[in-house]
Amino acid sequence: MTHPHSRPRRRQHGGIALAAAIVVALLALGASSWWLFGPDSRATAVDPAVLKPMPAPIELPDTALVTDEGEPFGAGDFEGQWTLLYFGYTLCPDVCPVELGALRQVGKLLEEQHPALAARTQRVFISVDPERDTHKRIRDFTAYFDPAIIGATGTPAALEAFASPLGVGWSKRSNHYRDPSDREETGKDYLVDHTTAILLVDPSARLRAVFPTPHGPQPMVDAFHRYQQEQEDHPS
Amino acid sequence: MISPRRLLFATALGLFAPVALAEVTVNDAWVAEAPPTAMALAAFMTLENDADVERKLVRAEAPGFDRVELHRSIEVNGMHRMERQDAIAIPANGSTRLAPGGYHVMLIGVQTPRRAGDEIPVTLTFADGETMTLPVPVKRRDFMK
Repeated sequence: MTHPHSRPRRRQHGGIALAAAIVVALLALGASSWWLFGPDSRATAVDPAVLKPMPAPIELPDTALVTDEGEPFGAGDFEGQWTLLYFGYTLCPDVCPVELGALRQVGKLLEEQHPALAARTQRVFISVDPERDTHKRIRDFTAYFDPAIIGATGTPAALEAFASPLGVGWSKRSNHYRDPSDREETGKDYLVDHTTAILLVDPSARLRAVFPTPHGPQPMVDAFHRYQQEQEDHPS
Repeated sequence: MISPRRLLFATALGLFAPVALAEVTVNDAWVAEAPPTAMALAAFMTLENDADVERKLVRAEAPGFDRVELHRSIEVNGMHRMERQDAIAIPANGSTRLAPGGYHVMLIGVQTPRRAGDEIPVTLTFADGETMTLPVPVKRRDFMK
């Protein structure tokens, strides 16, 4: 950027010394930002606050999940396209609707702005609450936001095997604060604390990056598009 | 306690939001339309306190739900969780926003599905015993428009 030869030559030594000092300063800044942000974010120039690359790709475990249509769903279903992946549950009252709403909007914006990429991007919602989330519930939930969103779940063991290598976790928490006089002891009154991030999986079924909260649809689309271009021009 | 007549008056006033009573004003109250699977709905609003003392919202009620609670969504170490609040404070001469991802009034156990355009009468009770009832419209979230 600031190269001595690109500067006008009207100055003498003082100007050159200043230019040299600027170059040294820029090099130092570059080196320190390399140290600070690592090779991945530097290579992609994607804002890590929007899309944070994993230190290394993580292969999706080949675990038998099942879609909301009752079809088997595993790592093979992630191959050949990019995937935005979110874990939650349909009874999630406040945050999941916001995240599914973000997935809906990201789909719309991708369609408008990058139709070729949209055509090879799927959005997947995996319920971590198979005890209550029937296929129908999951389908009704995803369809409310966007029928194109694929819903899936699995046995607790399969979900655990699929999600924990990806750093995704959840825990059931009994809704113990409910009024004791109104307790029915159904055992089904609980909330699920769960990971908030949306995961980005590449067409080789590897987790590559995560979108931390907050999930602004346009920044997500920009970051995803940029990241995908960088990766597919210079695949790692 | 508030007399039924005063409550009625407050309800009538509620038709013309914002509702003012005892220095707390409720603005922009809405309930987010939810997927048909929802077991609960969340109500959001801005509570403004013109008084020189802190006020506390301690209870909310609404017909047609099993129970109503004050909640806050928080994110801790990348995990989301929702916590019940005993009260939501509104600072003296300040305001507190109930908004998605933060404080909200949780309407739990939906007895009849609600759609955008419906109205839910929500009664708020403050620590000093004051109550107000306001009709809160059900609206689609911005991203559903």
